[in-house]
Amino acid sequence: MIARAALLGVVMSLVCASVYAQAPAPRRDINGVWSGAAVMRLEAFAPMTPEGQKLFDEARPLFGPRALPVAESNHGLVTCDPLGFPQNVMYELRQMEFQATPNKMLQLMQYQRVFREIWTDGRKLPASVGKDTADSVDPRWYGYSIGSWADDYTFVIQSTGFNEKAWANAAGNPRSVDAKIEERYRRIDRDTLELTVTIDDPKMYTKPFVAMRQQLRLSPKQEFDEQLCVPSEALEYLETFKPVARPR
Amino acid sequence: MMRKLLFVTCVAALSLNVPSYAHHSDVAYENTSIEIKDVTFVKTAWVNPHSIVTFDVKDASGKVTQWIVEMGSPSAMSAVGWNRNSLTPGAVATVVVFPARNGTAHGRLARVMFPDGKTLNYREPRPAGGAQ
Repeated sequence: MIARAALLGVVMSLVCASVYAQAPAPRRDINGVWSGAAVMRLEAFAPMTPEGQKLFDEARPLFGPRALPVAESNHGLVTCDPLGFPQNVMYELRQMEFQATPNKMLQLMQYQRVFREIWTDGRKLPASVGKDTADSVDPRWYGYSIGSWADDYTFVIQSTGFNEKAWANAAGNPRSVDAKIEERYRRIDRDTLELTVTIDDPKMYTKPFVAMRQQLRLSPKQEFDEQLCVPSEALEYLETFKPVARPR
Repeated sequence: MMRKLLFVTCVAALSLNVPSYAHHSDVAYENTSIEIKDVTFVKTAWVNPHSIVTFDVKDASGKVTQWIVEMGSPSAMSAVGWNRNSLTPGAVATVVVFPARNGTAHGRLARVMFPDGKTLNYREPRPAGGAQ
């Protein structure tokens, strides 16, 4: 059954690819709603520093090889904390939208209906975030972001300045305030957007690495579902399913 | 028109290639599913992060056990044909669930089969004995 479905998927992929390979990407345009998945497939993260490993060990995730029942997890998701970046592009990316404005690119996320401002007006990323100096700006859940076109089909976003409350992914990998994270959105054709996320965070990882390389599809309906984490409902859910975490 | 139809078909087909994951992990539940006959639905909470259905199961001695079973988020359930009125209180059906590993009357829903033959699927059942 599964093998037959997989074969059908492969055949349809080839047929569709051959039909639509000729649909070209528009120049310097990634506007629109793009569909991903609830849990995006990630690349292997780089080895962690001792500090990174310590934070990783403290994380009790809902996903991955260390997954725990919801009542035992300390993932911020359990209480509807913001996912933060880059977790919000590696997890719960069922749909997101880009809309370009004259001075910034807006990235609108279906999950929690949050948005990121990616400045395209030529400004630089803040030089100092979270330090004990007067000119240092505050760390943020979603950091600070700037963007530019690397070529006619590739929009590149640089981000930094994250607080350390959120994880980098749903498996509990950490991120630091000084992490430099690059997203490359390459529009391969009209309907396909390839996203590559690279993390450079020497405080947490021993070397820079590609954390994710995935394709998003242009959404046919171009409309978001309402997908909210509602604290009162999340607490009720947590209470209802606490018994499954306990040995009987 | 034909091209538009083919586009929609292709997007739908390709979306089937994307693995379907729940918002939370399944670690608390068994990997194999069980079938429970003649359950009576009590209530459905159509909420995030996961919708919850409560149903009663009566054994041969007449003892009633109440099960609480989670489904997907409303948007994930809607995408596969469910709505908030799919399981009405008082309705009787056979359900397939992945039960809690610790033996409590909790689980994750796979399928509901009504007496009139109508079936609602959320996940592929995985019975211990093989394909269902």
